[in-house]
Amino acid sequence: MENGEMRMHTDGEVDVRGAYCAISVAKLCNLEQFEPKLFEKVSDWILSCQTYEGGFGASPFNEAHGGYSFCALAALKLMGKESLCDIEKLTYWLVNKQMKFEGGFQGRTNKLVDCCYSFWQGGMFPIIHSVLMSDSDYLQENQNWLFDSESLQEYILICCQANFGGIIDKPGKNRDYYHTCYGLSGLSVSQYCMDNTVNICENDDSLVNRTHPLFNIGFEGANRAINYFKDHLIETLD
Amino acid sequence: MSDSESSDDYDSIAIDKNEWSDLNPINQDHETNEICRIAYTENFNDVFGYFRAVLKANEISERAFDLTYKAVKLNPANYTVWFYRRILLKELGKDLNHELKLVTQIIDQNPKNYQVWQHRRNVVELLQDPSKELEFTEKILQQDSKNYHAWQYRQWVNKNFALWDQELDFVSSLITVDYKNNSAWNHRFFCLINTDHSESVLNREVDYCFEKLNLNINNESVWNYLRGLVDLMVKEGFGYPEKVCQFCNLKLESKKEDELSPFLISFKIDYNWTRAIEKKNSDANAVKEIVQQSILYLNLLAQKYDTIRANYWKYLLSKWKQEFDQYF
Repeated sequence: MENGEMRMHTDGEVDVRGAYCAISVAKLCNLEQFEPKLFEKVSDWILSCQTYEGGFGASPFNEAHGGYSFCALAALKLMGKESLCDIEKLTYWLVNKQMKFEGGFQGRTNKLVDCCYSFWQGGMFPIIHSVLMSDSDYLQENQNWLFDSESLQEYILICCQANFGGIIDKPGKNRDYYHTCYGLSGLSVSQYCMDNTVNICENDDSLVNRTHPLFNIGFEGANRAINYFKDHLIETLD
Repeated sequence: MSDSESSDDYDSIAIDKNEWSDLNPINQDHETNEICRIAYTENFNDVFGYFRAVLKANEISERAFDLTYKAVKLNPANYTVWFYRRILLKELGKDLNHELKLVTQIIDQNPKNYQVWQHRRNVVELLQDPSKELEFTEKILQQDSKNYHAWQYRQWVNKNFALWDQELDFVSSLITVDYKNNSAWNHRFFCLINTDHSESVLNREVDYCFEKLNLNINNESVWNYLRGLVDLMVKEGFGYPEKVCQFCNLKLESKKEDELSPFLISFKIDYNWTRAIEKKNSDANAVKEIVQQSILYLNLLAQKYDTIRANYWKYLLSKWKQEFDQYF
């Protein structure tokens, strides 16, 4: 779209998820070889989605929300533009989304905890760490993310496992694939530090594989895909 | 899950295959080893089988239009059906006011569905008639005062049709009911930015924050809004509002434990940082005092008042040390 917005589909809704989906696929498959200017105005539009609270909303002025914030930050990072947002404000908003009693994350200010935000919110910390550490010896030496990893792992494993397997939003809810996926993804982010060392807070067999913080697919798999498409330039369709 | 296949609705969404004898339904392309095949009902398969056929044939007809109704009742999240229905609405010259009534009903039943809100937006845009929209979003917000789609849609109506007059009263009434409704506070900021945000208005807004903080000092929504106001006042050249410092200092002097909100303390630390940077090369004594107070507060937060964020408070401590090393 002209001003950098991206629609989810033809005459569909405009929101930052569209930008993230397009950019992450393009990066994985090296599609920019065809159209280097594909995402020229998108970063400016994404930046305009950062609110006074510090997080990002779906579109400019919409309420700061974990899901949309992840999409915004990951998309910016993929374009190399992550430092253009107000990282300090984002970090302050983000750390305050961890619930001090539950240990899990909420999606928006003054709302309830939900296990899926273990990834949407938790998953932003590796990206933020990579930005802030360039100006901080403390973060270069300190491998832990800026949230309470132990409390998050406890919330996921102790409060959010359904009786017969699967992960739930919060106690009292039913299991589903979405919460199982993002609960496990958030667990993975908590368990692996910046330097790939492991930080298991429950018993050892709770360790999961490492997820790629930008694509949320297996870390090794993501790297293999990127390398494959870098080496194999796709023939154009015409 | 949708209960649109209940017996009341069944006749309106059941398909009459006699009507479709001229077309072959197109099956969804099933691989032989699906990880998890969805157990569609026979009617669901029929409706979507014929929909795929209609789509492929590009059929523009009344029966196609009726079919899209059945399809969206069965799965309101199927954006391809909504897309095709919009084409049919146009090509068949359908009554858009009637369509608005229909989408009202479907949103009421599926208030967290993306596609139905987008469809309403498309219809209202064509009609260029926002007269029912504020009332409609208000009704949805009465059921769920934080429905993200409803707020997002309302913002679009406000901006697209320049309908601002009711907003401040609307948002204030929601905050009165629940002063922790962050969606309402966010909407308040949106209205402010898009209408009058002169110095007197912003000062009034600061007083409004104080009023709400006096009800509950530990309300993150208000502190975030206040930060937004203060940033805006500085950006607009009105300067940092003195009464905010005074308010914070007053609260910080309180001896009561439950008055020492982490948001209050971190607000002060943030203020201190700006002051300390300002005075860095001009007033060493003042900077020393500010730095010492900030270290004290950061340690209090990390060790006592907000331990879950200890890693973050320690990081901030490192930033203070990095910048003001000589005062440590």
